[in-house]
Amino acid sequence: MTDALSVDKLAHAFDGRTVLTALGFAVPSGSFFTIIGPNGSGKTTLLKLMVGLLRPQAGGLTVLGRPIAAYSVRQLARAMAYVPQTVPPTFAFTVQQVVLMGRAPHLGLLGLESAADLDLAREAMRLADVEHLSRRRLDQLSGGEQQRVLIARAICQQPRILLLDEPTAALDLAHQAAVMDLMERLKHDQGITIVMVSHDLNLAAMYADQILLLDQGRMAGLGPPQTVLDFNLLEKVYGCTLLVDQSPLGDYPRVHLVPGRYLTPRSS
Amino acid sequence: MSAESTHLARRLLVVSLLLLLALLAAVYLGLAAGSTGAGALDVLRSLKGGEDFRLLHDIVWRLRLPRVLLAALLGATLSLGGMVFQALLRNPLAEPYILGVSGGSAIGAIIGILLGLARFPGVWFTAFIGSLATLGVLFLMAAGRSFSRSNTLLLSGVMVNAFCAAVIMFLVSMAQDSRLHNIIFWLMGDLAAATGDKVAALAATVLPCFALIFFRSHTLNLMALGSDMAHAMGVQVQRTTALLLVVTSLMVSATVSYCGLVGFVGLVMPHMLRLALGPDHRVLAPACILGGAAFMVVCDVLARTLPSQGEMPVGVISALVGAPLFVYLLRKEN
Repeated sequence: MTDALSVDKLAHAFDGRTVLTALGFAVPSGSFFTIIGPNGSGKTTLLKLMVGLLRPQAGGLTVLGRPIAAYSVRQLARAMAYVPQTVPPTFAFTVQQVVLMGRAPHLGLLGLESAADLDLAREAMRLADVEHLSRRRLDQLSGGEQQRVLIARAICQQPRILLLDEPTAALDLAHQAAVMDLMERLKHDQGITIVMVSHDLNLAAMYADQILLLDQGRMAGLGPPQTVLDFNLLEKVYGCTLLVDQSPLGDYPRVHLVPGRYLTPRSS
Repeated sequence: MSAESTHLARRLLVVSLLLLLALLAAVYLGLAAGSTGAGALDVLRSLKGGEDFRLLHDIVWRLRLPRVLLAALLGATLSLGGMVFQALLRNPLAEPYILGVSGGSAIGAIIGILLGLARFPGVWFTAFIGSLATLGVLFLMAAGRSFSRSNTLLLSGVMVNAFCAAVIMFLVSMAQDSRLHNIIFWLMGDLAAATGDKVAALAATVLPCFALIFFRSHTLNLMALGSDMAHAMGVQVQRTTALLLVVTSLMVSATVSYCGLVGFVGLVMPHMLRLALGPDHRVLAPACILGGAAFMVVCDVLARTLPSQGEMPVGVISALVGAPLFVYLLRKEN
């Protein structure tokens, strides 16, 4: 089966400052892939490269077996959807209008939506639990509600690959669980590949098939949670004392912070 | 047809029809208003021609109709241009005037007039070059920053505008006496020199621009979510931004070269219509065209009829009406 994404000797620098070096890995189709790492380790840059927002400066990046450069912007938007952390304050678009915008890569220039498109939008809003907000203005919602609207918009885009930048960061506990379960269901029911940048190691441990650990732009670890969430590795990369044990809920590790036991966080 | 697209199409139809009626009413007012003292019905009858109405027929067809149409094209162009700038910069305070683009076209146009070029295509061309030059300067000043982080750009625009105003003053102060009055009057917004040919040339320039912008109206919706999101929904952000800025500059500089500087329409009309109709640019674009046209035609009627002698520059009226209206809207919004 073709990999959803594969990365070979990928490197990127901003103004001569290296952000990513020598990355090489593959994201199997239909898997749940999580990227973790300290602040400034290059997670968001890697995600932006994968979405096509940045062009690879060195190395290769293929999407569904084709080099990313072979896609038009529109073709790429049909293959994958992107959920950023926030959107800038918009004009007074309603939630339903924003979710329907997800249909744009499938529609003509004027984006005239059909009944089927509206059904897809309603279903996406229902899945992301924002149906009751459909007539509200996006810019008047809380951060967590906005994030769920952006997730609904991405689902409405019907991508093969869904890339999310810290989708749970602004969510309360119930909605964290709901969003992670939703990603799990999209993976299972529709075979959508999930690629997620996260700071939450425990959520990553519970849901991810594979975790990529980045450290200063390099790959510090790659594999299933049991191997990557190793406490020696994590302590070295994150620079703090941790306790890692087995979760009582299942066969995956659980990471605890130890209060007062951290090295000075290194400036990146 | 589905619920949603029917909904959109119906909305588009209703809004367009209502504003078209408003525009037709404004046009009729524009044709009927004047110093001949002819009744409104006479004006209608004179449109058909006939011996009884020969003089009135000439006045209406040769003088008033070109002027009314010029005002309509001017208002439509400025409010649509304002809408595009507001959408691209994601800032409801943007308009070609505030960003200095029209100031740049004015400098170009004055240079053209001083060189003795014809209004079309000579002055129009120098005005277009002027507006592109201002855009270029704006981009250089905002270079290295995302175009969408637009406060820098807006502030740069305000400065460019102030600089343009100084250059305009300089050019005016250097102008010979005979041209001075012309330039000053034209700067304040002048529709008096309208002829059928001018209107046709202006229409041929701006109408294709209107069509092009309308067909990018959904793209403007997507770009409201930010350039990253727009890109991820299949929009070629940089190319579209450049295209829309150039097309908008093209049509704005065309109106500047014919009608001078007419302020506040580009700011007030899109803002007001967005409050009334919502932010969907697919509805807003036609609404700006029709509503802006109607607004400017009425402003021109006031400019022609309010003074007991002669007339005022239409720019005076649009700013006198537009500025308080905008302040009122801002207060109401907060």
